[in-house]
Amino acid sequence: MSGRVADAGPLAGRAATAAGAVRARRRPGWGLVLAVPVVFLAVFFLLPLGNVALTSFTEPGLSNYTQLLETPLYGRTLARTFQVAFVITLACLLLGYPYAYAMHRARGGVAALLAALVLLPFWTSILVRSYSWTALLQDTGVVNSLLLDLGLAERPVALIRNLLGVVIGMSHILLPFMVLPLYASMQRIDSRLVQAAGTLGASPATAFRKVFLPLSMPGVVAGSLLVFVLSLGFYITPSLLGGPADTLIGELIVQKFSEQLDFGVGSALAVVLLVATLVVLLLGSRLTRLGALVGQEEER
Amino acid sequence: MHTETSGTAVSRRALLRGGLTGVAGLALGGTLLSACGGSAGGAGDGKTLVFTGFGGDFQKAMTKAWLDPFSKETGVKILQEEPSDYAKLQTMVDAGKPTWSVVNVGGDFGLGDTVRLLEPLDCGEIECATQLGVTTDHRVPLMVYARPIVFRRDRLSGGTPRTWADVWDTERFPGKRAFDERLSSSATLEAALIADGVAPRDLYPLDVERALRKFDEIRRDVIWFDSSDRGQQLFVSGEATVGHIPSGRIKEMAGAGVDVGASWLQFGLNADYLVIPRGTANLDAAQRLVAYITSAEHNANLSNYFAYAPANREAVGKVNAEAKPYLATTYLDQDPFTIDDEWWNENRRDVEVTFREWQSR
Repeated sequence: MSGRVADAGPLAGRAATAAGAVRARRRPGWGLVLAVPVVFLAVFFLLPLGNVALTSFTEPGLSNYTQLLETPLYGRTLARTFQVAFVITLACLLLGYPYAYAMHRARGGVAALLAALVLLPFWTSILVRSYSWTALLQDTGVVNSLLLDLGLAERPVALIRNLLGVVIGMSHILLPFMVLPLYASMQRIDSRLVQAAGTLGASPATAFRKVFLPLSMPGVVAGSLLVFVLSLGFYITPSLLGGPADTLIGELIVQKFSEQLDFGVGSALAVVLLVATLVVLLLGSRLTRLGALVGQEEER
Repeated sequence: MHTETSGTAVSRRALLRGGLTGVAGLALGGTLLSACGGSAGGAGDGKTLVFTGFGGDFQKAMTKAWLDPFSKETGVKILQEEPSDYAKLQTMVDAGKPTWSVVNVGGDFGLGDTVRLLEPLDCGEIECATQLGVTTDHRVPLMVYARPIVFRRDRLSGGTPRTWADVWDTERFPGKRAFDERLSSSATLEAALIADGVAPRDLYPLDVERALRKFDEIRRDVIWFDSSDRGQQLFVSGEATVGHIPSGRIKEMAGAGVDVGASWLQFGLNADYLVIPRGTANLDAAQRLVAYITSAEHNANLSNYFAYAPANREAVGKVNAEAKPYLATTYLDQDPFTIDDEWWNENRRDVEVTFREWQSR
């Protein structure tokens, strides 16, 4: 934790709004303000996390990990979790980019409306939204009733209890995490650059492709990383909308803890998920730095 | 999150890192919470107990049938919590200060390794000897129920399924099958074996591979559910035509106007139990509450509020007349088998892995 805090120093110095933070460091009162969240995270996050890691090695021992290796189910589920996370990320990107772009271009009331439409579901419980999707997508649900009534389908289309249901539900829930970083990144793009491309003879499409799109890449990477990592830990939505063949690693962890009281293997699974997540973040952070070079640095 | 992103001058990396730290926490938060959840409850002044159940209408019914009358009679205040999370119970007992006094658990808890988490019951006060189910020194059933064959009558033409073999007959009885995937307490694999010709007497030890091969036959037609609420929803919405569900739910659905029927042949007897976490405060009062609920005098009272049967044989005659057709004890003459909780307790983890592998194939 302390590494992270110290790390913010040089970054903060670069950002305009962070000037206050630099000033703040010289005021003694701020140390206390900072200490509260740090202590909170240490006690309520790091400590239990350490406990989980410890449990994975001691209850009963390393056999937890050999079990993970020997049982194909775990490896297969982890691989599937990454595949699903990838598909969700792609879906969110395809939906989120045009949306963020529309938000970026819109003015006044329309912009506010678009922002509200992203944020409203964001403030609704995941459980409620997942259940709502089941009501819409199930064989006797709204969508299928409509399809059958209109004669567009002979029998109910399988929209739920399969990968499609998982992708629909999770993309909907995770979309804000894609749209918001994208939007923030687009707002930072100097619109005169796109105009300049136009005056130099580029068609709007070319200007978008050669100027705007590259400049928005930091947002693409940030949003994708957020959505991908969040997807890895999902379990309510896939359990409600997915089929038995779409179990994700988060569901297995819950089953291990709550149903089987197998804290050892459950903890080992959690540790594996954590490490896998950290690896993704590590790779992602390299990409972002590259992205920042292409995006932010060049525009200066 | 959105306040951070709407600022235009925040460094991208600072934003990203800030966001992602929170996200990593979220990703694991679910599993951690179950292991360290705090709880409200103030057992300790000699007059307060904390009763924990699975929530929902069943817990409300228990409140009316037993908890409120007990409080009125004894002056002991009862706080309630839900759900009965076994992982939480284990963590609380291991931490040394369980806040729960009496816990409603399924048949899959309170045997083998988990006995160490429980106080021995005072069978001098509690009527342990007259109970159905798998009663031990550490757990006593509060009710029995079953998962009989259930079907939507209005969605079937040409008769209704009577046996598990009928349930497997997708030509005579087309439509999706709803099955409970909480194998250790739902008699799901048992149903498959009976459909395959195994006599109920010879079910245990279960031939899991054979049961799963039987499920292969109707694989495409099965909808799995992992909570009774969702199972009920499958029948109510009409997604499932045939299947099984705890018997109390059948009465609820029929009462709500759903055209459901049931076949009480070849069913397994199942029970929910009461346990007392080891080291709980107010042990005496907890024992008294358990004795009260499971007594011949009060045990049938639940059937006035929810269609679950008394586990105390002496109470069977006192059940609510309206609920009677939905109670497992009404069909004891059909010679139901008893789900072998002991076998399940020893084999649950292995069966679970085998089953999940099969499902993911």
